[in-house]
Amino acid sequence: MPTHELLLLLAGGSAAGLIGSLFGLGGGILLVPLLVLVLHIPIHNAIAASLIGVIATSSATASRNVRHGIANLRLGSALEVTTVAGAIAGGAIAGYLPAKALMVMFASAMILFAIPMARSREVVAMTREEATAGTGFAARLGGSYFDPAEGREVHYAIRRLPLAMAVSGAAGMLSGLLGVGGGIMKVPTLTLYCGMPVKAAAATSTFMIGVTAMASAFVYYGRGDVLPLVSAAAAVAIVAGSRAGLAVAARINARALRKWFALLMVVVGAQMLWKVL
Amino acid sequence: MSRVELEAIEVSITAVALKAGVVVSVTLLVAGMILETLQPANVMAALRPEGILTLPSRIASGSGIALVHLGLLVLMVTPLVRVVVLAVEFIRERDYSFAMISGGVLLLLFVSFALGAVG
Repeated sequence: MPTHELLLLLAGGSAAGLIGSLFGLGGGILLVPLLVLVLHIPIHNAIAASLIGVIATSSATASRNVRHGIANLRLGSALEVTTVAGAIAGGAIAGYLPAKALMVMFASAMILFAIPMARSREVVAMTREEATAGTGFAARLGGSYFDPAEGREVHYAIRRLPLAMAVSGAAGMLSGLLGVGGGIMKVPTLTLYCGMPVKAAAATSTFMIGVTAMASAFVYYGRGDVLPLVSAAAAVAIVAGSRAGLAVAARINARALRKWFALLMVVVGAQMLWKVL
Repeated sequence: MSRVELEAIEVSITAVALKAGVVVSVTLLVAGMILETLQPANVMAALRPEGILTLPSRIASGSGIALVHLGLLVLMVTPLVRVVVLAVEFIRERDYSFAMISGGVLLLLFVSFALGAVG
């Protein structure tokens, strides 16, 4: 690989990791277009490399979020059932789809998911008693964490668990098909419809997407789609970027950044469509 | 041991499993990439599962690609290790509902392994 392409990959992978750690994404939504449009890597290989990058960012970021009690391990474990099933199906189906079809799907997904990316609505705060008042299985999935920015313990309960599981299944399929982590669907659903605060939703999504990506990564590996040096450079760069993201998260106006990122997603999605069509 | 203490251990071990996987895999990947810059190989040559059998001998002979292959495998199984660790912790806490849920996830992950092995 020429040096300038390797440097581009390292820089782009780092940016993907940084953005991913800020928003609970795996970075694939940036990495796949970089690999396809700029480095001219065939899309099946780009998706495989991206899935490995998602595993890297998930594992690197989640260890910190788990330690700080922000990631909801029980909710994440429950949602992993449907998301892993979806990812396996998506990874298997992708092998039968032509490259153009995958490009169109990826570009369309980027444009479509820019909308929930741009929207953000913080969940109304609950007291501990309100958060633990429910009964049944879903009542066990609520949680709490200490938010240094607010200087207090934040409590929440989970609503609409069936919706969360269905969307996780769809997000898993998207992950297997397109090489993204699926957080682009999970985080807005958890925050807008399931009662989860943004920080906890992003942390739990990051916790889950590693397993999601792993499920389909092995399918791509078995098909011989994993290019070792491209995947290795992407993984190392993404880990570095996600560590940087964790360091700057507290200082960044995430709401403003989210809107700019949504705009970038539309522009890049349109470029991919233009290339294919 | 109280439930709070058990949950604290669950959190610590899960976090350590994830971090260890990342540290080991990134070390192998960086070492492999450095070796590869000294002995360049075909960057477009894809990894194959059957290559796992020859990994030890290729690593011993100084193959950078083999080190990268191993690093990628370690990275890819890190989430699996995390699921196993969490399942064991749920059993220790006698939280059998979530232990079964984790068991279901493990079963699905082994399906993906099987698909990968068949190719």
